[in-house]
Amino acid sequence: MTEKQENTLELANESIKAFGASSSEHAIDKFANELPAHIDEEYEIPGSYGVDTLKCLGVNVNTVYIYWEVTDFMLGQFNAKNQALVVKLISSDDSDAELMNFFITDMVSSRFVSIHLANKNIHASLGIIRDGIFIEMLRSNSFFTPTDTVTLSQDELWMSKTEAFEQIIKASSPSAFNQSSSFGIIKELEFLRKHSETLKASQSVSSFSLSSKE
Amino acid sequence: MKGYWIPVLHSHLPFIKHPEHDYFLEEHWLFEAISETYIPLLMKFRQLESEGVEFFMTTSITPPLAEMLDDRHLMEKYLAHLDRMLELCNKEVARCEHDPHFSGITKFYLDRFSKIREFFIGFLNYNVLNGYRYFASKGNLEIITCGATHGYLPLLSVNPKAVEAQISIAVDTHKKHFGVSPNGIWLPECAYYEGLDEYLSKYGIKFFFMDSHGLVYARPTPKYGVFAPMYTPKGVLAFGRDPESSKQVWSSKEGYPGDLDYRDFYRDVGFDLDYEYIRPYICPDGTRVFVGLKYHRVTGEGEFKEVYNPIHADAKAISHAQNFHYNRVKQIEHLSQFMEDRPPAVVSPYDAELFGHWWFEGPDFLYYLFKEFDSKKELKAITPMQYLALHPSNQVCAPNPSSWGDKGYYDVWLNRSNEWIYRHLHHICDELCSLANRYKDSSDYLINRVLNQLSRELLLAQSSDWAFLMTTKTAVEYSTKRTKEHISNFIKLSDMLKRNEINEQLLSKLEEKNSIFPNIDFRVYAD
Repeated sequence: MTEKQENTLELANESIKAFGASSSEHAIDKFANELPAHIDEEYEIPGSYGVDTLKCLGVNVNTVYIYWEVTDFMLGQFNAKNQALVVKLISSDDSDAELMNFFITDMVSSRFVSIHLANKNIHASLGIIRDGIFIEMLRSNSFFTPTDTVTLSQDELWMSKTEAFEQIIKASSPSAFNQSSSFGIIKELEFLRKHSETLKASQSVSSFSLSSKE
Repeated sequence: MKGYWIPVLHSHLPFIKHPEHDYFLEEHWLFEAISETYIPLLMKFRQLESEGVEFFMTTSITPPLAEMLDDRHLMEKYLAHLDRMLELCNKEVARCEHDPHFSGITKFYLDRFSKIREFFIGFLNYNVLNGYRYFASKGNLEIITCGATHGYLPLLSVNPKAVEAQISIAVDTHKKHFGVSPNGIWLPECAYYEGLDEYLSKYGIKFFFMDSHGLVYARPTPKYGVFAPMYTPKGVLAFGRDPESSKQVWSSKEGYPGDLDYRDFYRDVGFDLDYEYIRPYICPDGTRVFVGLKYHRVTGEGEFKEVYNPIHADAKAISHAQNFHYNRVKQIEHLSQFMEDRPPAVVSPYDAELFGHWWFEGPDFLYYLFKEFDSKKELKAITPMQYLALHPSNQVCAPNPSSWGDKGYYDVWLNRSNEWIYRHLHHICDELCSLANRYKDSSDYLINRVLNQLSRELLLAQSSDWAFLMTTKTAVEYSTKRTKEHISNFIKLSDMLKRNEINEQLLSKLEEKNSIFPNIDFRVYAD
């Protein structure tokens, strides 16, 4: 480990040494008392909406939440009324590699899935297995999972910016903003950094600069 | 000058307005916050100003809070509440006139509420926002916004329009109340997800705050940890919470607010005094509640509590301010050895309502702390924009999805006690987007009113406070009913629209009750 990385690690440790400070208490808790609510009306809400749905949300580094609603209409379309339905968790980053799966019986339900996933784009897929082949009926949104580890890097990208930053970045490296992840953008920006001196020289008003700190 | 201290207060309450009731318990959250936090803080700022003490601070005023503080109905109720408190204070002074233990403390409260009332109708001209505007115009306060209704953005992000609307409406509401676009945002619950910076950047937000691990577990880990901000890939500056200074104030065990000389939060005359005597000042249904007159100090862990002595408590506030300053100096001296091109910056964000409401002496502590910074000149209290002016060059890293809630991620807002809400929140948002696209060119006044009210009901249902209170089990019934109320209102209104049978009476009733964002335009949900 270089001296620079040792410094970074030292400051990282200082930054999270009292991690327990993440708070289970908020000010609103102090106002709230569990007393009979004063709303006179009772409000009814539907148990389902008759819309085929599959959603996937990260809860923490070790938990993913998935909920779904499957209608008879869709089951009919797939000729799947008497077939077992399966939900798969997929890593969108690794050529749609399957991370885990589970069978479902309830047409409107949800599940908290325990699985350690750090820094991954994931999505869920719901379908049936016919002749050994998974047939996708619904695909969820994708979600980027958090991490709980330090990532030390030799490279540092630094930036000075003023108002016109994003327009200039876009004009200089249109592909940067098409990246699927923030880290991808940083990689693009690192590439852009190599050209930043030329770029700065070509601007009458310096709106931003990228630099490397060795 | 050895380093920077960046104090941040997050001022927020959910939108609660019940014009159908003369007395509504949860409306008192706002009244208590005004009397115990917002006005005492502004009074302390005024005192610093008159004494020529330099101070700089960042505070969020969330859109729901700003809308409530600007709501005539609620402010009329607040004034009536203040008058009722003064009436009780006067009765208490008379009751305790010859009581050697309590006569001093009852006079203390009478004097305090008299000054609060005078400040409200005088300096503030019946509007608390005037005080914030005043100190923002003087450059002392950097006022930032928050999500439109404090929606938990990562869990709403399955429909990007939900996130975009929370931010764009927040920015518009900030402009309406403060006359300028906000430079920064307090992300609701400091909750960040991958890609959120795109929307922040789009709406001109220059900085936001995260919990420590949002920066420390960023990709890559920033060179200076949380002691310097970092740019996100879209060029928004992320500041990280310093855990040490947070803990000194937040921790109920190790933090300052637990000092034995400070006022005890839980002993309140609403529960202590004779039932028939106190009855006019508690819930009209006879339920005992806190009324805000608390005569005892923390004393110790047992049941026995001694009488509160404001002079002793004030001395403690001075000594804690000195201790906090001393610790920051030592902390910054230690950190400086690892930082090569700039002094460390310590970011200390707190819920504003911690100061005054929970920690009664909190506003005094802040007052003495700013005096300490100003007189010692070893550290400088600054705002994020001042930091940016001093240090425009910062490292670029991808923040880690995180929040400042218990366990550091999304657990508090998504668990078995509140998971049921998300299916509905996502569905009605999709429904509104579809209706907004269908009617975006509509010039029909009535249809537009329905669509605007649909937007309000969706936004109010999205408030993260309801999911939070379901988890902590402090107001489960109220928060469950509020969530269901807005979902149910939404469904009724959208059915009216689909059937083309608009019930104008119901629409007007909802517009009056759930009146947040009177100038909202539903087209924010259209493509």
